Amino acid sequence: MPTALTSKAPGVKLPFSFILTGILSFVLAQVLLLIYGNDLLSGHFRTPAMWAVAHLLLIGWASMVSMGAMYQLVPVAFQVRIRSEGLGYVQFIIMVIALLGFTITFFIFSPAGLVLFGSLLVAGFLIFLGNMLLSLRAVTSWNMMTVMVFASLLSLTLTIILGLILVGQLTVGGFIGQYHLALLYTHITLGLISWFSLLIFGFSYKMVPMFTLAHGYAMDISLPVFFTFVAGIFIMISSYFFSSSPLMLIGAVLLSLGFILFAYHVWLIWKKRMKRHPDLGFKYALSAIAGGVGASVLLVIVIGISVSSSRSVSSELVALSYLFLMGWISLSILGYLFKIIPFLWWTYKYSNQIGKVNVPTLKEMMDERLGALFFPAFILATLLVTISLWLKSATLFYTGQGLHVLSALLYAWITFSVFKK
Amino acid sequence: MSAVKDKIIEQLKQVLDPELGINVYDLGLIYDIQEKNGKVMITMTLTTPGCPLHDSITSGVRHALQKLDEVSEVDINLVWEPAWNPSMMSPEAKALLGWE
Repeated sequence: MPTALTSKAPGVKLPFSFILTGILSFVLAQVLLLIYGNDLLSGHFRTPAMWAVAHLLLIGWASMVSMGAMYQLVPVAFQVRIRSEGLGYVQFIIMVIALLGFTITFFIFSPAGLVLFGSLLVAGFLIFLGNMLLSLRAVTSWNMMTVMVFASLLSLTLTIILGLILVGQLTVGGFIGQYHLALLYTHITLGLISWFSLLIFGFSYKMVPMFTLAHGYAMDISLPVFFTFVAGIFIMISSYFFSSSPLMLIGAVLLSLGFILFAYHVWLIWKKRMKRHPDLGFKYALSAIAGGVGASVLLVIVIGISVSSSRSVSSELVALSYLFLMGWISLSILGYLFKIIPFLWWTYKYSNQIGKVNVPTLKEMMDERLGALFFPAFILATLLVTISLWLKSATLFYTGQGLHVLSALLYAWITFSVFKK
Repeated sequence: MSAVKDKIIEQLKQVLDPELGINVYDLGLIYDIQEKNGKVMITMTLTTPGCPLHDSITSGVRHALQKLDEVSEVDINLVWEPAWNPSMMSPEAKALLGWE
């Protein structure tokens, strides 16, 4: 019998630092959206306040949590050690300072501040990317999960480079200015869709079987999932530079097909599960796939309408970007955190006690009763705000966003209560 | 089966996988138990390679067995072959997972 490798799990403080900062950013972003939501409703999407909130959600919330989770999950999924945990802490401090500065300088729109804190953000991301790539270099057997995570990191790298170019264009101007909009849409497509989706796809192939005890499923569908999705991203980005709506439609169709194939593959794995009733958070993380499928199918319809009628669909595209960020990315993260946070705290507090005294199970550490209130409230709020942006309805927006603020506070309460367990 | 081995199994049934809430013995993670003059060798696996609870579960097994007066030394041999699969679970474990 071959002997197992020893555990490569890192300490829990580093992932926790990122994840808890992410949750605080999430709450703050929801409050700011409630205050500045008028910008969205009046069709002013590219205002300093909206840029600030968008970056707080995408970097402060989703990216910070994703990076924290990766410090925990990369050793688990790929059987490698994180190259340098110390660098991870350096990155964390840089990211927090940069995030605060970047958010404030967007609000007051200080070009000098944007350059300064934008450069700090880039430095933080580059440290993360270097640390991850050096860690992944030790992977001995590549599979689709590795390829997807690697491709997501590549998407993040390109997003950062484009972000730097865009800040340069805003502050200095001139540099390939004719492509400003194409570069902006590429930055959004890679940063919002590609980096997060490929990361969720890749780690789902580890976490779904692990949390459901699924065995005997095939992995061959992951290949068309990856190539269809990446082809969709590539063609959509091409369409921005050629200003071609038909090309954008082809890209959206492929993107949507990628999501549908992924949903089908996860369903096949789900059917092979041994754990008949998986935990609440995990079930909602899986329900987020429906959000991704829904948003991508609606994108095809909206672009189809745009191509056939030549009318502006900017409100619809903002509504779909929002649905994508909340209904797919955020719901996935919120659901998986229901597993990750108790695991990290349990490891910190109880891992040395197991076998000596009775210790709680992971399920007992999260309040599923409150979770059963939070998740439906979050989904309802997301749907209300998406519809309000689509229809430009202030009543729906403030109802939905008010519910978002309350549910975000409840989520913070649930997660921070773990520390009392 | 010796009386000591019975006691070892009883102790192993006190060690729960914190994710599943099922003890490691009924989960089928224990492949072999060797006991001689107080020295115990446990050959075991985990449900998935790279399981994040790797250290917790193996040290949990060690702690539980060290509670026995008859045990002076515990060695854990963690293996991945044969790979764990659901058929290794006891009927009790399957019932706890919702498969009546």
